[in-house]
Amino acid sequence: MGATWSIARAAVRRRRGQTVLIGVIVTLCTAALLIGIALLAAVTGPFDRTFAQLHGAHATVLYDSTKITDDRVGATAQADGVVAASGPFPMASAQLQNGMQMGAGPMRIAGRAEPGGGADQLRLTHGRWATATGEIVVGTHLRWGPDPGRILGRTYTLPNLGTATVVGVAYSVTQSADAWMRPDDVRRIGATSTQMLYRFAPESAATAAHLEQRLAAVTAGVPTDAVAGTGDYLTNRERAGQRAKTLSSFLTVFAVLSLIVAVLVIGNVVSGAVIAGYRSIGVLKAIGFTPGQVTAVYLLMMTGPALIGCAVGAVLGNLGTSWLLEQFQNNVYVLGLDTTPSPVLTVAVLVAVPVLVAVTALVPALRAGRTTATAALSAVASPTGRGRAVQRLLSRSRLPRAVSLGLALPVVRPARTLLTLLAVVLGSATVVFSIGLTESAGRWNDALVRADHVQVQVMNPPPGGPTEVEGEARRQPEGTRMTDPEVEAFVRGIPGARYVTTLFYGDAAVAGITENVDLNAYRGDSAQLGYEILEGRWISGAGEAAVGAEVLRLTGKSIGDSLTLTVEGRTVVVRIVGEIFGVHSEVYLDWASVSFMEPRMPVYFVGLSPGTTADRFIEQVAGGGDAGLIATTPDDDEIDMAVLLSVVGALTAALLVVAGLGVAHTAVLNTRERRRDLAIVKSVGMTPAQAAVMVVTSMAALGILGGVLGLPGGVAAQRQIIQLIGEAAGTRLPQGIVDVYTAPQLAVLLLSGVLIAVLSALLPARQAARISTAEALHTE
Amino acid sequence: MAEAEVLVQLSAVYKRYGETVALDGVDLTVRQGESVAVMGPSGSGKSTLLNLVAGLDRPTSGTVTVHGEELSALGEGALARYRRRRIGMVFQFFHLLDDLPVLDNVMLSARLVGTPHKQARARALGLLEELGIAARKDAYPSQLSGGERQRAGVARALMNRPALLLADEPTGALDSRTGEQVMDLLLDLNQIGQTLLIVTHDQRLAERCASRVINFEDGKVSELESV
Repeated sequence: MGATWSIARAAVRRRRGQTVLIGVIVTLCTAALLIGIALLAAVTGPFDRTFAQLHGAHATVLYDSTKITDDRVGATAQADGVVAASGPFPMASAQLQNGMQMGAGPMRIAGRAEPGGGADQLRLTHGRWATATGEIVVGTHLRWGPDPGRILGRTYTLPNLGTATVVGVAYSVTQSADAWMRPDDVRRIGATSTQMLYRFAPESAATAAHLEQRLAAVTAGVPTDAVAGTGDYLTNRERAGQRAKTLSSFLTVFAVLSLIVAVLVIGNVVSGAVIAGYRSIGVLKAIGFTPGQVTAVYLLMMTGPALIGCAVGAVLGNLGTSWLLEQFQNNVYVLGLDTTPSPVLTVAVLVAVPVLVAVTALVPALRAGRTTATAALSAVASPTGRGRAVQRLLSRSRLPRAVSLGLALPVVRPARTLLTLLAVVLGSATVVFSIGLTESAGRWNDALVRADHVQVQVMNPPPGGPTEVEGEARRQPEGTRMTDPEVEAFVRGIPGARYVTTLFYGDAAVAGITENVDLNAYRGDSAQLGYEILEGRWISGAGEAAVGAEVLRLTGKSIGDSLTLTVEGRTVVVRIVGEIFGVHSEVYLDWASVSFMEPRMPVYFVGLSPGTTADRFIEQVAGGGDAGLIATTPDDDEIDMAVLLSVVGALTAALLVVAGLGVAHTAVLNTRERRRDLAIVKSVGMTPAQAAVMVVTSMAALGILGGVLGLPGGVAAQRQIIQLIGEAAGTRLPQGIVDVYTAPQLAVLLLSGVLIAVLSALLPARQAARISTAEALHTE
Repeated sequence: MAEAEVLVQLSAVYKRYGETVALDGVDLTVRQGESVAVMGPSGSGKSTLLNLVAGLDRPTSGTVTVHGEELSALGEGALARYRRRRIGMVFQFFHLLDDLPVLDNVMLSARLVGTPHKQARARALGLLEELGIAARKDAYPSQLSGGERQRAGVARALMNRPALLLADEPTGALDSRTGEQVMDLLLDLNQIGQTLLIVTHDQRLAERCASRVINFEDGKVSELESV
C-alpha cells in the first residue's frame, strides 16, 4: 500500500491543475446537488411535516360568545375523537392602522396567553410573545418581505384599545389567526366569538367526510346557533401542495441537471487523467506494480481530491441551503421552519458523491490496470489515424490552417468529445432555460404591477400614524382633512395626471367559496388600469364583474354567468364579463355596483402624462396641501419570484462553471496530448497566436453544436416549468408569459454554447501558445 | 572451473503479433554473471526478447525460464512480483515517474517489496552516491540531464539487488560522452557479478560491456560471438 499511496499522493501534489480541477468540480457539484436535493426535500410534503411538528389543528370552530360560555366551549375538548385541543380563545376582528393599514381588510386577532398548547403550537420566528397589555404578535403568513424582523416595534391603533406594539412574528401552520394578543386585550377590542382548535387521530381526520364526522361529535350538545363557523386543515394543505409544486418542479430540473453534468464532467476528467498518465502505467508495471495496484493508484488519485471537494461542497451546500430556506421561510409560508438541511441528506451526499467519483473512475482505472506495460510504454501520446477523412477534408478547405487543424482536433478523441459536447449542451440549455424563466417571471410581475399604466398611488389615511414613511413615499403634513371626493379632485388637478382611478377595498361572501373573497371596487377610469384579460373583457359599468381564475374554478361559473355576492350584509348580483390574469381569488367591480359599501381608506391610482415623472408627481402631492395624504409608487415586486430567481441564478452559475471547467479540462488534455504536434507545427512557422486560435477553434466547434442542441431543450424546459408554475398558482397564463423568446434573442442564445466553450478554452489556448518548441521536441 | 548457473533459458520461443513473426523459435541461455548484448536491425525482435524475459509480454509458444521460474505459468500478479524481486530494467527513454523526485523514484522498487522506509532510503542514497547523482536526489526528472536521468534509472533498477539487469538501448538517447559514462557503469556492475542482458544498436557498447554478443535477424539468432 505504501508504494501505491506514495505514487497517488505524488501525482495529486504534482498535477496541481488536475487536482484543483477535480476538487473544484466536485465541490460545485456537491454543493449544487445538496442545495437541489435539500430544497426538493423541503418542498416535498412540507405541510404534513410542519403540521406534525407543530401539532397543527385539524379543525377550528368559532363559537358565538353571546350564546355559549367559555367553560362549555372548553368542555368540547373532551369530545369523542379529540386527542388534543387548544382554547377557548377570544377572537376579534379589527383593522390595524398606523397611517398605512396592515393587511387588505380587518384582521383576525386571537387572545392567547402563550404560543404553545395541545393544538396549533405557534413558533416565534422573530421577537417574543405578547405578555403585556398593548403588545401584539403578527402571523408570518401576512408576508412581511425578506426581513420580517423590521416590523418589530411598529405601533398600530386598534379600536377600544389604543396603541398596540408589534413584539413578535409567529408561524401558525393552521393559520388560526392573523395576529395574537393577551386574551384580555382581545376582549377589550371587542371579542365576538370564541375559538377552539382540535386535533384528532390522523387516520380519523384524513378526508373532508372524516372531519365532518369529528366536528359533529365535537359540537354535539352545543346549541345549534352557537357555532359561528368551522374550518379545517385540508384547504391550507391543498394550497401548500400547490406552492410546493411550483418550487419542486424547477428544483427537480436543476437537481437532475446538476447530477447529469456532474457525472459527465467527472467521467470526462477522470478518464482524461488516466489517458494522460498512460506512459506512467507502463513504468509502474515495469517496475513491479500489480494490475490491482495500478488500479488503486488511479482510484486514489481521483478520490483524494474528490473527498476534499465533497467536504467543502457539503459545507457550501449547507450554507447555501440554509440561506435559501430562510428566504423561502420568509416568503412562502408553507415551508417548514427548520432552515438547516437534514444531516441525513448531507451524509447521503457525502457518501454518494465520492462513490460516484470512484465508480466513474473505476472503469478507466480498471482499464489502466489491464493495460499491458509494453502497450503503455510504446503508446504514442495521442491516437493517430482517427478521423483522417475529416482531417483531409479540412486541410483541403480554404479555412486558415490553424482553424482547420483546430476543427480536426475533436475527431481524434470521440468519446471525450461526446462527453464534453453533452456538458456544453446541458450548460447551454441551462442558460436558455434560466433566461427564459427570468423573462417569464418579469412579464408575470409586469402584468400584476401594471407599471406602464399606474405610476403613482395616493392614500388618505386616518389621522395619526407615522410622519415619516418608507421608501419612495412622501406624506403631506397633517392639518385639514379631505373628504374622498376632495382627494380625487385634488389628485386630478395636479399637472401630469392623465387619469385617476379610485379603488375601494372590501370583501364579499360568494356562494361556493368558504372564505370571503377580496373585492376591488373601482371608480373612475378603471379601463386604463391595464389588467391582463385572459378571456372576455373589462367591466364597463354597474352590474358587471371581472374575476380571477380561482373564483371561476371554485364557483364553477363561466364568462356570462351571474355571480351573487354578499357585501356588508346586502346581496349584489353581477354578471361575469371577464377573467383577469392574477394569482388571487379576487372580484373586480365598478364602484356603482356597491356604492353602499363603507369606503375604507380608498387608494387613488394615477396614470401620468408622457413627460411627467413619478418622483415629480409625488413631490407635487406632498407639497400640495396639509391633509396628510401619502403618495408613493406602487410595489414593483408583486410575486414571490425573487427568491426563486436567486436560486435559479445560483444553480445556473454553478452548472455553468462546472460545464466550463469540463470544457477547459478537455482543451488542456487535447493540448497536452498534441504537445509534440504543436511543437512541430510551431517549428515550421505557426505563430503562438495561431496555436491559440487552433485550441479555441477546437472547442468553439463543440460550442456551436452544443448551442444548437441545447437551445430546444432549454426552450422546452422553460415552457414546461412556467406552465407548472401557472398551474400551481391556479391561473392560466397569457401567451406572452409563456412565449418569451424572440428570434433575435434565440439567435443570441444559440451562441451561449460557443461562449461557454470559447471562454473555457482561453486559458488552455494560452498554454498552447506558450509551448516551447525546443523543449517539447526534446522531451517527447 | 565449473560453469555458472543458468539464469535465463529460452526454449523454442515463438512470438507473433497478428501476421508478424517477432521471434521465430529462439533458444537462448544466459548464465549468472554473464553480460550478454543482443544486437540487430530494427524489427529484428530484440525488444520483444527483452519484454519476454522481463515478463512484460508472453510468448506465443515455447518457454521462458528465469531463475528457475517459468514465466508463462505465472499470473499477472505473480509476474509483477517477479519483476520486483528478480529483475531490474533500464530503458532508452529512462521512464522515470515525472511526479516523483529522484530519491522517491529510486526508492519505489524497495517500497514495493516492503523494505522499511529507513532502510530503503539508505540504500537509495548509497546507490545515488555510487552513481554520482546524490546531489540531485530532490530534483524531479524534468530537471535532470539525460545522463543524470539514466543514472537514476540504473539506480532504480538496482535497488532490489536483482539477479538480472535488463537494459533496452541504455545509451540510445544519450550523447557520446554521457553514453560512455553509462557504459563504464554497466561494465563496473558486471565486474562485481551483476548479470546483464543488454539490447543495443551500439557496437561500442556491446564490445565494451558484453562478454557475449547475440545477433538477431528476422526474429532468429543469426550469430553468436564471444568478445
